[in-house]
Amino acid sequence: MQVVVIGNGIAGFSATSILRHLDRQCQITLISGESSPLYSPCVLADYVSGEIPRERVFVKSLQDYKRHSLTLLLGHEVKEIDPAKKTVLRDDGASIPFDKLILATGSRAVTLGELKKGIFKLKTLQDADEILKHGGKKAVVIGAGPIGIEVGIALFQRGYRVSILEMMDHVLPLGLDNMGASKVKAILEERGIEVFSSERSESILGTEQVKGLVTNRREIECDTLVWAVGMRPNVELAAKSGIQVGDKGGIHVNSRMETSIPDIYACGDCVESNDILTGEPYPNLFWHNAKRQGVVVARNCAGFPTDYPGSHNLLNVDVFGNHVAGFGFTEAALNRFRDLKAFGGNPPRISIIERENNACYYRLVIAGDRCMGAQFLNADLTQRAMGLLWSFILQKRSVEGLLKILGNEGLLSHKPWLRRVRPFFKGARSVG
Amino acid sequence: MEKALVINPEKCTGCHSCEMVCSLVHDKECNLNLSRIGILKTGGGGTQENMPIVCQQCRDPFCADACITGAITRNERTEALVVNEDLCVGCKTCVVACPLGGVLYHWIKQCSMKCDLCEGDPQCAKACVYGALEFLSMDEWGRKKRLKGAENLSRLCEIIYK
Repeated sequence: MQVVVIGNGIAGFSATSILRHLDRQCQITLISGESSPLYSPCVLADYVSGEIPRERVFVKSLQDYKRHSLTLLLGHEVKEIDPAKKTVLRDDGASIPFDKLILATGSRAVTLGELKKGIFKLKTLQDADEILKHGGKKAVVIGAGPIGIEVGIALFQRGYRVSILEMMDHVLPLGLDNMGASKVKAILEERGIEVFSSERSESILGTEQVKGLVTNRREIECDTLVWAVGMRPNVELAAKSGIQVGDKGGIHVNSRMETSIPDIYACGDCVESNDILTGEPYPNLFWHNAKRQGVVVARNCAGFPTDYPGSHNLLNVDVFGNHVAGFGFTEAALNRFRDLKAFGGNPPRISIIERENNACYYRLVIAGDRCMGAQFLNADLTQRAMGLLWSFILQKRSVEGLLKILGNEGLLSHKPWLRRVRPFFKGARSVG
Repeated sequence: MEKALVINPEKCTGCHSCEMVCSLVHDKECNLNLSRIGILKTGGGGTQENMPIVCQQCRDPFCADACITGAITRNERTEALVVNEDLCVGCKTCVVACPLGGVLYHWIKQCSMKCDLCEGDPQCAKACVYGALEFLSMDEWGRKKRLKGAENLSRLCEIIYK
């Protein structure tokens, strides 16, 4: 069997290594536009800040690829896929036949407007190298998602004066609600990073080199500008070959990660898989989803039918030593998606459990009888309860049932591990 | 033969010996905060229960999926999931992700720590004098559980037919 994998990110690599583990005979060809072995884009901000050296960004070395005995074509783009003839056309004109094709083309950072000198994004290792080569004094980061905040902190630690701009009304808009976000903002401002929320960038000043940024409220002088407004799946190659692309912007796949064309699979940031909480397609562009999708694709390719349970989001940022974690929906997002299929058409009543104590803060978002999300700031890690709460959310268990167990010593002694989530539900201020 | 660290919470007295040995073996000091295994003490008064919590070396580990640097891998010899401290950047994602609370954060080394089954010879099981922690092969464990079930059943029969 000839298997061709396009893309050398974590999805492509985990698919390759699992496939080799399951099938010793098949021929695997790995094609990637980038010439470096697998590295982790998630830790690039740590590399920019100087916390870790360049070699620690790499997850695998070229020796690891040799162990899997595959044909490695690094630095080659794929120009075209021919699903009828089952061949892949490389940019140098050579065509490679395949029996099964795995698309793991990943995503790219969104940038708006033209790229001048001093304007960066942070998705690839090359981007990080370019930021490090550029010596500046004043940086503006557009977008206050996890990447924006991490880049802002990294540049601040390199001695830049940093301003972070956010279009939405608070920082980390997809992970936190207003109150948690205002605490994060306060931490950033206390250290000396300016945060401007509810502001939209309008134009970039400077002809050759960036000189400043005009927003709808002010003009900020800067010599460095970093775009961190989000990621977009790379679907051009798939769309060109007639593979169906969903309306959320990723490649459409079924529960076995097959695309609309048989024998072509897709995994990683380029797909829109079903969200585990709602069951509706949503591009959750996270490392852990890509890795798991790679495993599922490899198992299906090797002939072991496996279903993908669904993707989920996980926010985990370190803001100057303060641990910010969150998963599932925020209250704002739930209000936005009230007509979800998961609720059977009738919008549920949303209730909130939240408590704060000095620097610690947590908030649980409950819709109807299901916990749909949780946010933590400096939650006590030794309590070891965050993961338990998350598995509770993923299992879609009823909150009513949990409260019944938590309130009854007899029932609780049969499930003693649930005692760890009791502090979250006990004595909490209930709103709504 | 696949062996696992078996926990019998009803036998645990909460003496912390396992935690002491764990930190002593791994970090050369007796420090409950640096222990990979932890005893969850719950309830109060006469109803106190002790539950040792330690990584169960899941078959489908979520911590390894969540690790953004691929630092958590399975040791092929001992079948334990181990953290490569050179690769770990201390982002705490695995700590958040583990539903058991089996992965912890090492505040001194600034990286994740978890049970590595002491190279296939867990010292905590040796240190536990009450038999609350045992390192058994799956067959042996199953046999023990069945034996215990049979004992319970015979005791129940005695009560019913007396």
